[in-house]
Amino acid sequence: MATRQELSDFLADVERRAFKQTTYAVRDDHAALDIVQDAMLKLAEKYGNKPVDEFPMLFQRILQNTTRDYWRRQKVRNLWTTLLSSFNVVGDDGEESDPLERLTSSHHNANDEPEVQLDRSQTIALIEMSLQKLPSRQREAFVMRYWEDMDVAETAKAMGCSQGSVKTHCSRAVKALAKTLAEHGITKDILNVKGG
Amino acid sequence: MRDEQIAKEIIQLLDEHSEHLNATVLSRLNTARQQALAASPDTYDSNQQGALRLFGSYFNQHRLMMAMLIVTMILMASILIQGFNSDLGDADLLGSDLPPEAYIDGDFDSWLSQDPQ
Repeated sequence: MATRQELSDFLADVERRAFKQTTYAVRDDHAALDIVQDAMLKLAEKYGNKPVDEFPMLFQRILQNTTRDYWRRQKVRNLWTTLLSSFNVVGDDGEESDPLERLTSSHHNANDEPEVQLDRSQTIALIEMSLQKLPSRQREAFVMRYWEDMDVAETAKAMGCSQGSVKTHCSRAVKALAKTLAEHGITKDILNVKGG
Repeated sequence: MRDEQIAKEIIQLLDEHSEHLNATVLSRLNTARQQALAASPDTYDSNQQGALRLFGSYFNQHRLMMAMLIVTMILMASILIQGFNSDLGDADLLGSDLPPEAYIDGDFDSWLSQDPQ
């Protein structure tokens, strides 16, 4: 049975990542905060007495379910707004454009190689946008396996799927992210440099 | 292995970025955490002392099992007590003195004097 301090430490450790990963899913900071708050409350109320080792899996499961509840409510309340919302923004010429292209082209310096020019903040922005574009199951698997550092079995349990599915989702997620980043001139070597 | 390496690099950047959330977000996350802790009724507080408090907490979480255990113990105790009283009754009867009526009963006297064989 976890102590109150262990529960507090776990929540303090996970809250920032939970907020960021929920933001990638719902694309709204306020909604993400509400979802994380609900998830924390549910974990503490219903599973606060579980062993601390089970918290990561339980919390991720609660977070995913709470996020799906949010989408269901959104779908009912505001279906057309959800369908019409996108990353497309209107450029200066009045035409819609891909924000990733705008991000790259606006900071392109003809005197230097593009992969050197992109600084850390732009790289992170690209990564975050790429994560948002991933299918939800791939994003969930990627976040749980690599960001939350859960093993395959825990991730499968949290996602309610087989371990083989987890591996497939993870592999596809990484390949999709690497491909998107490579399309904007960010290779593994550059990532290594940016990561310090 | 290559996938793992790419993922690690991405995660490292994400971790660094998540360290720089704005104050409003951090404040709300902190509030959410405090509310969650306040709503947690059964976490064990290691600062509290007392075996009774531990037992009470354990009892609260396993109410059905504890209730069944107590009922079983009561039943077993009543069965044991009834059996004990029964044995005691027989022993008491055999070991106690004869009632006064037995001494003035002529038939009982003649039965006592009979040859056992």
